[in-house]
Amino acid sequence: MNLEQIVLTALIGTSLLFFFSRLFQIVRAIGKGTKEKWTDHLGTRIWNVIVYGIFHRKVYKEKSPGLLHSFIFWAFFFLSFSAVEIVIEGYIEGFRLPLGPLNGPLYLAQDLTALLGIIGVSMALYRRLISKPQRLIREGNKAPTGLLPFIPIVLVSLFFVNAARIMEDGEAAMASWRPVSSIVAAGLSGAGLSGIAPALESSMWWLFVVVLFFLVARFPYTKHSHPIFAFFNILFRSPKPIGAMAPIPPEKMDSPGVHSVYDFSRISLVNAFSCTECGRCAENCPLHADEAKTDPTHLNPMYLMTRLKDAILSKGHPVEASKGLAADGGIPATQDLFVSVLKPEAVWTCMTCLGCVDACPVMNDQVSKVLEMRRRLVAKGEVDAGLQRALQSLDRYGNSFKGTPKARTKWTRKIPTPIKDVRKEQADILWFVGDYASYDARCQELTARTADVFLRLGINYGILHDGEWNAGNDVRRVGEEGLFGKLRDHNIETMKGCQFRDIVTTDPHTYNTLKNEYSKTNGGRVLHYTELLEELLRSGRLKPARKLSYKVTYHDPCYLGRYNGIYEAPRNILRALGVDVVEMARNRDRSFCCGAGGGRIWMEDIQQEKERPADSRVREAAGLQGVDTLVVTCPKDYVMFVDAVKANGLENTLHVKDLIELVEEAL
Amino acid sequence: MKVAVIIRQVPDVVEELVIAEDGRSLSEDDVMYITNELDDHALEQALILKGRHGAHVAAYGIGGSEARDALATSVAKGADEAVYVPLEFKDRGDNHKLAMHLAALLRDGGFDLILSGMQAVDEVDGSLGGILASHLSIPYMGGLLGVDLATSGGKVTVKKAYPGGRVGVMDVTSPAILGIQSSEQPPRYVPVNKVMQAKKTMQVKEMKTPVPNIAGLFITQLQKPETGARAKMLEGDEDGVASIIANLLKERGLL
Amino acid sequence: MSPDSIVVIAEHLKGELSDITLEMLACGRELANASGSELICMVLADDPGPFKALPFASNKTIIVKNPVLGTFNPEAYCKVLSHMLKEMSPRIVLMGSTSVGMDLAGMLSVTLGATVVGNCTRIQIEGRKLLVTSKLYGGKLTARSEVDQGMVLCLLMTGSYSKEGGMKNEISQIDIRDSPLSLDGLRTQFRELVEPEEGDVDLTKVPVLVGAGRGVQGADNVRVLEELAGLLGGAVCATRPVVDQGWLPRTRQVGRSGVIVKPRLYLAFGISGAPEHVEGMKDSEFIVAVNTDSGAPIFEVAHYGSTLDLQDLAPVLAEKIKELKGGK
Repeated sequence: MNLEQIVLTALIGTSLLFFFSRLFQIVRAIGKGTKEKWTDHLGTRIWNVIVYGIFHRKVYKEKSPGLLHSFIFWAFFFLSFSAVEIVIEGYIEGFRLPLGPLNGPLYLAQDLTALLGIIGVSMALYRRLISKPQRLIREGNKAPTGLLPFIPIVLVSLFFVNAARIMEDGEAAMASWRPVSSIVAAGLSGAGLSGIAPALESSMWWLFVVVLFFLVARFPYTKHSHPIFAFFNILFRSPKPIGAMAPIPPEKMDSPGVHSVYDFSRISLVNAFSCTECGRCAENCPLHADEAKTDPTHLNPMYLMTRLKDAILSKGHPVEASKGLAADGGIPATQDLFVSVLKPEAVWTCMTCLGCVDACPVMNDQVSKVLEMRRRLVAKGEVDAGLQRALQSLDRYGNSFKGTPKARTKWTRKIPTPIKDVRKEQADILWFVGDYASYDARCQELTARTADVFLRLGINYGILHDGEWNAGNDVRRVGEEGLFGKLRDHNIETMKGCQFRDIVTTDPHTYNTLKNEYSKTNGGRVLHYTELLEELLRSGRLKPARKLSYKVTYHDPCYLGRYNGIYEAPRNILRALGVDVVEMARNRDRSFCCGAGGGRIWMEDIQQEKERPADSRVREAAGLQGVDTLVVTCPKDYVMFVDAVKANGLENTLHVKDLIELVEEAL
Repeated sequence: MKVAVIIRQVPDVVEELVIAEDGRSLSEDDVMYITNELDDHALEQALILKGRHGAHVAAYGIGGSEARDALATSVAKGADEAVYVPLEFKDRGDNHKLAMHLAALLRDGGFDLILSGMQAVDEVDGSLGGILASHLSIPYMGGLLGVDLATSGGKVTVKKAYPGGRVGVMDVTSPAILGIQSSEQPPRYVPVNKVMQAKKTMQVKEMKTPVPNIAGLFITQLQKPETGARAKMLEGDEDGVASIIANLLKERGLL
Repeated sequence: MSPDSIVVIAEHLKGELSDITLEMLACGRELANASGSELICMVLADDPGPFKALPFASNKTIIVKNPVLGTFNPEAYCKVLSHMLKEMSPRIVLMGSTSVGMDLAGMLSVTLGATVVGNCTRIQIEGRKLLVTSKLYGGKLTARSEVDQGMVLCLLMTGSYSKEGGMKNEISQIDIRDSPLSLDGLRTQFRELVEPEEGDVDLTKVPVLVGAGRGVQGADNVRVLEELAGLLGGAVCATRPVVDQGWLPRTRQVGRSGVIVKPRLYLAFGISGAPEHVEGMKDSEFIVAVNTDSGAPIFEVAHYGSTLDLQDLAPVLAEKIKELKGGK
């Protein structure tokens, strides 16, 4: 081997040493996590890898980043072939990949994608240096801006190598398959620089190798580990509905949830290395990570991932770890989730709105991690005082209002006709009313209206009266799995004895758990009332008697929209009523949570909160031209927004109405 | 250190209180029972002593089947022993009867402290603790906000609430009975799973001795307060009611 | 058994007789007059000085002095009273439904073989029978009981009787004695009385009080009430459960074991009206209560009431007050 080859070998060797030792370190650390099955629904999983991993569908939620990312991705994809070829060239003169007739098309693809890659990087640099969108700047600009320029260096050096070879011998270099390189070559020749070809080739070749292998060595130490791990992450991501929480496995019943970072499953831990630190999760988070607070006392979904990464590698937040905070149970501070990743007070701030999970392009699940931590806090009895009151009330009275079960049907007194008791009589529809709709004074009026509408539409329905308990959705999401089981079992038992076809509810939280977490009772469907109304609209049974000429905006509830994909039914109904629907910027999957979910409606206000989510949302609605009504389809949204409108002095500008009110008006 | 906690079941006032046909007692069918709130505080205080000094905590659950549930919760929270003391409906609400009954049960228990809530919503014949203390010939003190081991010599230091927000610090030589007004920390939360687990695995001793047959206070009548709501109730929404109140205040020169 | 005497156990702190003592004397006087009995007031103290010249409405006042009796020590009081009441054998013994009376009644009932009636609001004599009215279930129900014979210990609730009848124009016969028993070697030792922290508001001197009850549900809601209090030139006070939860300091507690207040205005938010608290504020000139439970006992003492949610009403009320004030 000559000197060049020795240097080359040393270079590649060192680079690969760094690369593989880091990879090994990561995989070994992840390996300390618990086992979790991922072999079910393999077909769907592989399909997901193709759609989301290779074709980056979720990255395209923002058009231009989606484009530039694809450019860079495909550039690297084809670059990898060049890299192999070039490296082996170092040992075997004039080596070409033995692809037969495919060499040509390969080189064409390389050329074109390399150009696109350069364009992509330019777009990226423009965003980082000039347009500076908030989520990128907030999340940290230096590292990516530092690393980005190296990519065009690699691609450009490749062009120059090709150009130099073309200038020397166009045929041998297969110039016809390298249009861009050929243009570069032509440009150089035209400038009278054909003499530098050999020097150019040699220097650019080395530049290419050095920079490329520098990147190879560097990448796994940064967020650029994501190209390796994201594919696995997407493969491992369960295709089961996101609205169904994983139950506590029997072996973990004594200590449910997580305390040490290695209590998470390996699949969950892979998230940390798939994270691209793009900040899309934090962008739509109702906790408004306005300042880049990276410490564990603030819940910011992106920093949750980065701190998780540190914890997995036992690096931890040095400041926190050194504060000598007692790590109980002998867990070192760097691995103790409640010390290094998320403090208990921050664990309780999540609203489970799914804004983060929905936005994440690599299919990370931030929410489930917080919920697992909640399970552990509950097991230890460390719950927020307001939450304790609610849970005790739920355990004893089946509702969070500390109201006697008999008062659940108080709202029915507003209606002249008695409502069927499904426990005693058959009905087509079992209307599972829900806690807030039954006990909150403001919602009781809406519930009465709903009953009125059902009556006028001739729906044969009944309710469970005082046999209904809180469905348990939010109880489960605050980590009280035992209480959730108790509520669910009771409700299922009560429903078992009843005869009905489908279940309808007006509460998206109730809807979510009945649909995704209750075992099928009677094999019927679970519908949100908007789904039912839409059906009746289609079949002609719901015929608006008059057209309402309002200009409204619609707020997509988290548990109806992101959790269960229902966006159009309410809009279709509104349009059928003749109403003009003006969309807020944050609509459908970008809807902004009202702040009540995840049990937060039961808890004390967040200390460090700068702006309540509901306040932000009503201001957004009020800011729409000509819109004076905010339409909701969830009782908690109703309550939160009515309060927010008052708190912001918008009583005369914005009216909060449930969809049922408009339906009733139109009948 | 051995600590006994007396946990009573009392009618839950969240539910409507229905008076029986005889007009002298509550209707047995309609009463819902809940653990006496201050007994919950007593349990919490006992568990705090367990946490600080490794005290052995024995929970005595008194009443019907709800008392057994309360014992499961106590064990789940950390009580070391559970004793079920069945008490029929007709015997409830009578502290003299209960005290005599418990005195026989607790006398030979070797307890350093017996904790109980200083009052219960259904008691009309004085605090349980005082009566029990007299039977056992040991001191009693009620209205306590804190209990701890004294720095010297096998005594217990307590904080007793005095009028005007004052706190009296006293030393008591055990054994003694303490009537808790408020535990040093609010009663802790215990997850439902743990309670269900405790229900399955706990060993409950059941006291089978019959309740003494002594005559209690003779109640001739039980009724809703006759004066009823004296207040003029204001109707309307927040805007309306707030305006009325604000104007009332203005009229009286309070603004 | 002498059917002819009624004994009142006086309560005092730091040399001052507490209001409940006067109320008990008024009640005792009424009963004594109705039944032709002798009313005796018993004061256990270390220094008879502050009490010996008081015009008690009793026929006779016995002051028992001993250094250990200075501040209420249940064991000491019980020992002395047990001995003396056994000798005196009265028909009725009146004690306060307070941290003093409630400690003593149970113990004394056993040593004296007496009946105890707690939470008393009204006592009447009908021949040989004693008819007592008491409050139960946090004030939601009233119980009437009858005692035919034997000694009866009645725990009288503050505010059931007017203080006026507790004193009269002449000084009653005062008898100062030493404790009949030795009070050495007691198992209960009083160490010190800790005053509430300085620097906070004296609730008894504030003209307007905004009361926070359990319905407030959290420290955050206290803020709105503080705003209200500020607008009205007053302060926020609390019920015992609120203080126990730590939402307000103990210095703000109004009620039996807190402060007794008589402001010009008392706004009660989320307060159910349990007797222990009502004791502390029922003499307020003007009471407005807000509680979502229409059956809450607070509405029995309030002048005006509303069942709206305090979280909705309080901020709007603050706005209205600002408006009316701004108009000046």
